[in-house]
Amino acid sequence: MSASLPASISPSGPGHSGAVLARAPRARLRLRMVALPNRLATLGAAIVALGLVMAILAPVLARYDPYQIDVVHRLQGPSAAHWFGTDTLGRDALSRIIFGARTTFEVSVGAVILGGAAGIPLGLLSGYFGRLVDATIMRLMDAIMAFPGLLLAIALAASLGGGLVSIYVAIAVSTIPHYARLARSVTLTQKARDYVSAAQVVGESNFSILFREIVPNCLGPLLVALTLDFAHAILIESSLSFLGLGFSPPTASWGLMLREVSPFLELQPWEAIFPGLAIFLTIFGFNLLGDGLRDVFDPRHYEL
Amino acid sequence: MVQPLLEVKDLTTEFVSPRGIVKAVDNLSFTIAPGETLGIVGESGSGKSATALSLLRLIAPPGRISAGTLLFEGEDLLRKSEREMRDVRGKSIAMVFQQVMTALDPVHRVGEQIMDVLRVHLRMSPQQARERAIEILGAVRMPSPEQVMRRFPHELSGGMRQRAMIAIALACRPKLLIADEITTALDVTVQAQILDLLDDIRREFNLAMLFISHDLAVIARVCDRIGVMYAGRMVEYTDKYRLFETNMHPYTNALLEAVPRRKEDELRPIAGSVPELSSLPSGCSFHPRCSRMEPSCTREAPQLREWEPDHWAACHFPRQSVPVAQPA
Amino acid sequence: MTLARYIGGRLLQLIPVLFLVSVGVFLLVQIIPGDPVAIMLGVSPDSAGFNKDQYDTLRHELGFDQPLYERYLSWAGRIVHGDFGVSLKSRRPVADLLFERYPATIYLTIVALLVSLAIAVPIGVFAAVRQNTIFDYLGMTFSLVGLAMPGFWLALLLILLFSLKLGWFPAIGYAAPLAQPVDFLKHVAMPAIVLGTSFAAQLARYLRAETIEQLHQDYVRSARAWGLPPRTVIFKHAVRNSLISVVTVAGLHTARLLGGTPIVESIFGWPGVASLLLDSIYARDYPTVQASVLILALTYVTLNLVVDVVYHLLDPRIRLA
Repeated sequence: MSASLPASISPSGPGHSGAVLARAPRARLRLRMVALPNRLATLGAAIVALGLVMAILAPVLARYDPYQIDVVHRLQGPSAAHWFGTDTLGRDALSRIIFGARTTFEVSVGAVILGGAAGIPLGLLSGYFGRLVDATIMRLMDAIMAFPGLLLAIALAASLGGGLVSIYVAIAVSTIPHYARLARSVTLTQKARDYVSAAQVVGESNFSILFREIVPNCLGPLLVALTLDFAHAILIESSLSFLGLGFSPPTASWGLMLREVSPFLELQPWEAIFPGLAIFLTIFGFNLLGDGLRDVFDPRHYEL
Repeated sequence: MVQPLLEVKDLTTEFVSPRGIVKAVDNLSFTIAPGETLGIVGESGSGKSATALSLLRLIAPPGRISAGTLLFEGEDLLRKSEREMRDVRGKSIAMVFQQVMTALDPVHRVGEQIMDVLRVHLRMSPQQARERAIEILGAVRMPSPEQVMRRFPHELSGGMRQRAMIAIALACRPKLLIADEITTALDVTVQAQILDLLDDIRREFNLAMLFISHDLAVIARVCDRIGVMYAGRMVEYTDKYRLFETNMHPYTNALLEAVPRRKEDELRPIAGSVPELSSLPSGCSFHPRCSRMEPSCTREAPQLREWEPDHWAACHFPRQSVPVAQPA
Repeated sequence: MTLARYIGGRLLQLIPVLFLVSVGVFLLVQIIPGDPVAIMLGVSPDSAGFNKDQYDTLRHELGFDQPLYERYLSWAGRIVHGDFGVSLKSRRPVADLLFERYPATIYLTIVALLVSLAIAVPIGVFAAVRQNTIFDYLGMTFSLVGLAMPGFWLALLLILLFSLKLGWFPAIGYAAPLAQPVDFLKHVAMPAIVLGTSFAAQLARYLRAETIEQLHQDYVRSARAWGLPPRTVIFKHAVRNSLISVVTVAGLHTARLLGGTPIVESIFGWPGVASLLLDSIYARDYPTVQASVLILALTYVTLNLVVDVVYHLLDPRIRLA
């Protein structure tokens, strides 16, 4: 395949002078592109909002009780009565997905707030006091991050014996370092600025400086981290539930629905599509929203 | 009269920016005869580099050449296809850039970068290309060319890198060399060596040159003819001697005054600053900084006119005020 | 000199981290709510099947009759000597189990890394070179989708399509790469794709940004001014330069792939350390749980350190300095 130059460095014109002289359409295309990240962020916000509405209005939106067993109508495909079919116990899949949104949002919001509540103070202390406090806290965070990906959540959930508390703890602990490091770096930057030393000269106490001068400056990046961590929390919760280490039956949880269907994959493939799609879309939405927010608060960020 | 090697007519290059269309090069015309060196001088932002890039059609979007003809050996470069244009670049018209530190690819050896050009344009075998590359490195007086072939760019000094760039430019024996501020990034002694080198290779290769610089002293040393650019336009255009002795445009005059002649001289910078291309003053772009400004200067932009034989200026009140000919 | 100091510094930093990790892993078993010995036996002290001797033996074997710090010290001491205890489920030394399972995890991770690169490099380069065209949009859509795709769902979808519908790949199982290379490739294909997808998505995004940046470099403009054909300008100059930084970044983050192994190994029945971990969790085989968590964390930390140091050795800017 012959390669050609990208638009950004493409030649000023092809063979005919007419085409060399008039290039307005390309300029218009480029302007549209600038707006694209914003549109993706809007799409993300819309998806998240949809999920939130489902979670809040679950009892209104669901046509069936998500826990109502109906063995006669088990393992049905999508139909007018059951849009997404029914599961092995004859429960309506759509209703369970709608209530699953409630489960997911409750857990992810709760756990992320928990993680932030633990991580932010740690980072503030670390950045503000430095030295031994900093070294101790940061080594602790390194230790948490020495467990790759889901490993820590799995280990915690396993030793805490599953259930709601262990899910919260598992998610919260693995997000603590994000907040601690964020709060620490913002604190270090702000500490170097004049208004903090001015406050010190005026004689404000350490804690009042922390909360009046430094905390407000963390809010933008914090919002970005929170948004991206919701996605992270949803992934952890659904993975734990899928592995049988999170919610236990009969809870309506997307991960658990996939766990329950996996032995019957061949019999009812559609049951594997919808809960997974719900997880995927929610994470997708939070990711897009987070990326968009980051463009606003931290345009030079380079991610991997 | 000899047929010019390059004849630029009414070249206009514009950039699309959020604040509207900006003309970096505005209605520019000049010619270069075979073996002749034309200098273009101007402050930064005057459109010198955009002119250089336009000649090779290397203007990147959102910029574009919106009008004009670029006759090279009688053929309009703007009518060539991109493929035909590639045969011109590096083969008939070569270019050397200001950025000595970054203009060579850091991950390839210098020899390979020279050989690539030879192999593409002259279809040489690797062996031929190697011999030719060593020969050309010798011609630019590179010390121990064979070793330099194996070096990476970061292993060379700034002066050696610029020699390597000149070697690549000369590799295919071009007819025209565009040199865009090539001595600006070098220190003074190296600058002098490179200028000496250019003098020699001009003669040796019978090379025509478009030499771009903000430094009148350098321009005066190298060039036969000089064009002065201001805010995208040519404001004065003549041979070197006329420009220095009987310059017409107040901007040229100010540029000359700004050059210290002796060490004791005070530096006399030009009052005011180069206008933003996106918000040019009305009438003559130079009028806010001009010592000869009259009310008409704010209303009407002066056209480039041939006030004396082969002496063009775009000013309503040139120092030699009797027009001898109407513009062609 | 600076390099030696750098490596020394990294190793020194590693000591408290390793200590804290070992404490964490040790505490995993201690924080089990209720009586861990009874839970491991699966009976409560008041139930009918309760055997006091068996209970006391296990309690002693696990050291629960000692104070916490003593238990930690003796546990850590044994770990240092390669004694990970005995599996409660299979009654075999845990070290043997780890030894059997470890290679499978490493093979899977390596193949997943290759898969990530094979997906990410063409997508990232093509998206950058054809910036703002349909190829770019498709590539970046892949990247966004890949980042949001939960591994277990992707695994189920792949099994549905390629095992159950088309029958191209076996849904579960393993074959040794050296003994049965063809079988190995068939078995590893889907797990490696699942494990590598999100990494590939991140890499593709990074590579695109990096290549676009390279395309604006001065040497790319030089190469165009020399009249080199677009293919040479793009691939020999721009892409070649962006690949260097991408390979660096990919190396530095390779260890992350380990994080996906629990899900992937358990779904595809891949006999690695991560599936050993999950099996042991379900079987309440806590010595094995501890050991496999520890070994995965150690592998992760070590891999990060080694890659980091190797890049400091290779980076010409640091060599020059």
